[in-house]
Parts: sequence; C-alpha cells; structure tokens
Amino acid sequence: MKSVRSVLIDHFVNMLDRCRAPIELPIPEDLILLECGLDSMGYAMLITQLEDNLGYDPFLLMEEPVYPRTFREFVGVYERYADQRTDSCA
Amino acid sequence: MLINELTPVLDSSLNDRQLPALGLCFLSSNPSNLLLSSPGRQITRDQITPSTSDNGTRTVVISITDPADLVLSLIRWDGAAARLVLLPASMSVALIKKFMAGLKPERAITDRPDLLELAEWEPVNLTSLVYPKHTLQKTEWFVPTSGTTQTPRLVQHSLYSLARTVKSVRNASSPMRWGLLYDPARFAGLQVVLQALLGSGELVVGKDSYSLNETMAHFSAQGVNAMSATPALWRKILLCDLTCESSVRWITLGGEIADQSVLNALREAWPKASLTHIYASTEAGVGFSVKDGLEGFPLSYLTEKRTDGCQLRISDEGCLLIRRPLEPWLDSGDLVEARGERVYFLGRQNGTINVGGNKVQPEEIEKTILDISDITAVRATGRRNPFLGQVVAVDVVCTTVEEDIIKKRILAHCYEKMDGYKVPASIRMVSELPLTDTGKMVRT
Repeated sequence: MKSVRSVLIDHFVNMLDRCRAPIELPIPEDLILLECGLDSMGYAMLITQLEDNLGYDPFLLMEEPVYPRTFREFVGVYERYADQRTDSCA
Repeated sequence: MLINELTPVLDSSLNDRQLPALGLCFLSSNPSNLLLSSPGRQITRDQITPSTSDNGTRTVVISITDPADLVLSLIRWDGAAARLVLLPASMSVALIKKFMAGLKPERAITDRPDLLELAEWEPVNLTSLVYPKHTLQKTEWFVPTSGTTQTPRLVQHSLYSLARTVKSVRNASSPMRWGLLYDPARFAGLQVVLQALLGSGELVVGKDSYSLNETMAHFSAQGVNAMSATPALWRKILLCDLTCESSVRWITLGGEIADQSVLNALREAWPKASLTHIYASTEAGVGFSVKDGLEGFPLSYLTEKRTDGCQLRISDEGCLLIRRPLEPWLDSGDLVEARGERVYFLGRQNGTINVGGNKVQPEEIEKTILDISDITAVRATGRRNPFLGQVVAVDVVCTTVEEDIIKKRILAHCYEKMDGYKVPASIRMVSELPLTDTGKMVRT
C-alpha cells in the first residue's frame, strides 16, 4: 500500500498541473503552500480528492483546525490521522 | 391534432357542487369505450355498474400498488366517501400507522401484504366494478405531496380542483391514449388519470413490478400516443428500446426543470410530437404550460392576463411566485432569472451550494455536464469542505466511455464553460441515479 506521503505527492502534483502552477520535483519540504500557485479552490479540490482516496479529511478530525504552512506540515497533518485511512489500493 | 386546440373541460363558472363524481363524470363526458387498459385486462365502460349501497362513509384510505386497481378504487369511492385519502404504495408501514392514527378511517383498503397483516386493513375487492349511482357527497381528496426529504403532507383537493387543468380534445381523429408513468396516488399521476378519463382519452397502465423497459414495451403494444413524465424519467425512457416511435403524438414534461438538452433530445426522438412543459404546484393547484420547445418561459407570462388563470411574479430573492387571482402569493422556492424575453429556471433555492461565498445551483452544473455526449444523467451536490465551506461534487452516469477518459472530458468541459468555483471537486461514476416515486431525481 502506498504511503500517505506518496498519495499526497501524486495528488499535489496533479493539482499543480491542473492549475498550471510550476512543478519542482522532488517537492521541497519547506515549500510555502500559499506561494506555490494553488489558490483556495485548488486546495479545496485537493483535500476533496485526498478524502476520496484515503477515506478521511484530517481537518474534520482535528478539534481545532490548524492549517499547515509548508508542504512538510501538510504531509504531517495527513500522517497524524493515517489510522483513519480506509483505502486499500496499492 | 395540436394540444393548443384543446379547451378546458371544466367551465370555470361551474360550481364545485355541480360536478358529478368521477364515475358519472367519465360516463357522461368521455365517449371512449375503453376506460382503462392494463396488462391482461381491458376495462370498458359497460363493465362499471352503478351502486346504490353506499350510505355516506366518512373516511376511506387506500394504499394500492396495482395502478389499475387504484384507478378503479378512485371511481368506486369518489362521491361515496366524505374523505378519500391516498397513501402512496411506497410509504413505509411505520409512516402509514402514524397517518392512520390521525385519520381514523371507516375503511382502509390495500393490496400490500405488509398492510394486510394489520387489523384495520382490508384487501382490495373489485370483483364487481362499481361507481356510486348518486353523488352522495362532494368527496375531499387527500393527495400526498412529493416530500423527497421530509415526511409527505396530505394536501386537500376536490375532483374539481384536481381536474381544473384537464383539456377536452375536439374532433380528434383518434383518441389520446395516455401511458401512465407516474404513481396515480400522487398529484402528477392524477393529472394524467383525470386527463384520460375526463378529457375524452384512454388510459393505459403497466404493473407495479414492471421495469421501465417492460412498461415502454407494453405502451408500444397498446398504441400509447401520449405520455407525461419528469425530465429525469424522460432521459431514462430515451435509453430504453423504443418501438413506439411513430405513434407518440403528445409529450408533456413536468415536476423538474426541463432544460434545453432534454427538450432537444425528445424533439429528435419524436419529431412529430407536440412538446409541452408544464409547471404546476400541488399546493397552489395552478400552473402554466410552455409549448414552444424552448426551456424556461416567455417573459410575457409575468405580465399578460392568462387563460389558465395563473399569475406569476419574481420575488426580490429571485424566486418564482405563483397564485390564482385574488389568492395569496405562493413562493415556489424555484429560483428564476429573466434574460431578454425569456425567464429561465435556475434551480431550487434550498439546493444552492455555497462555495466560499459563491452561490452555485446544482442544476446549472448538471445542465453543463449533460451537454457532454455519452453522459446520460448527472447529480450535483454540495460537499462539505474545510477551506470553502462547500465544494461541488457530482455523480455521473456514463456507460459507454472509460472512466478516466470521461472524467478528463468533464473537467475540461467545466473549466471551459464555467467559473472555477463551479467546477466539481469530485466526480464519481455511478451505474444509475435513483428517482423518487414521483419521477424526480433523489437529491438527499
């Protein structure tokens, strides 16, 4: 089964492509999310797709929503709730 | 024979009391020999006989699955019962019990095995087909509203108020033979039943157990030439193996927004048929029709004095208000927009999706995606999102193109045609989209 990090990277790159934002691989850990070319709609879509794929929305599970600033923090948020994962695809 | 040449059967100056009960009304106004045709059964006018055994029953409740038996029960009880209550055959036992507790009927008649287990219910008995010889009372009909998301309510009507829109066909070379696609216990179904019975037509029904394909095959075999359905149901019908192409002459749509794509598809399938879109409200008991094959309705409907007695206005919130003259305005809850000489339907106000402050109507998304060929049905909903409150999510039916390809096509099309916030954040392929028993798409 793919790691949460891998799934996130796949979808993140996909969304950057859809929003015609520049893609630098590998994605820098300290990439500032607000400056990478995704607008709020892009993020909203990304989170929806991740929920469809992984089976959970970490922002819903948090008691107090804390929004990640960097890509590392973004992955961290998802990894923190990885036990809620319901997908079984490779 | 164009539907424009039809005139109302019921003179608006007629007092309620002057209208006889349904059975008598059928016999006196309809020259057709055939009352009703169902699989294996043809019921002609000489088979229904007058009964004098009623002595003014107060309340009769019926919950009947077989459409033919239901129609025959309407004829049996209108004029004999003070109150005739129609509970849909699909209504759960639990809900029926609740209604029964409030209604306390003398008679409760059903063909449903689950209800027959309860003491108050008796089986349908139509061994002799009767109608009340004398109209003992002006029966109050209680008809359930759609209630897809809430408990249905019972709206009070009389035969007169239900038959108000029935048109009589003058000099028809062949009678209008209506195929019943709706549940006859609901307003839309009753409109078709009464149009057939009182409007010099004939009624063809299927069986509750029939699939849509079987129903359409049956209609074709019986020479059905008139049908009424919701746009969602018409889209399903267009996918059936249709063999009655040439015989269909009258098509009506109602219950949901009739967008240009479904109107065009119907025009293409039946180029010779007249196409009428009906907008009606169960509660207001009034509506209007559009016959020009274009979506929406003419702007002039808002100002002109109409023969159908329907007055229309647009509220400050952009909703369509409707009423019969001198009655209170009823807010339809349907958002509309005037553009040029036309008024367009945008969707249900309570279905609006709020994407980060931007209001989106699911119907607009559905209409846009339905333009893509190979896609047969779409449902758009608001999906909760931590960043924007809601985003658009769609369920799509497409059986002929691979999932990855059609999803890409949908996204490309949406980005081209709509603002970014309207583009679906999630696209899910489904095998079909269920309809309610009033033929509307389930939206919960």
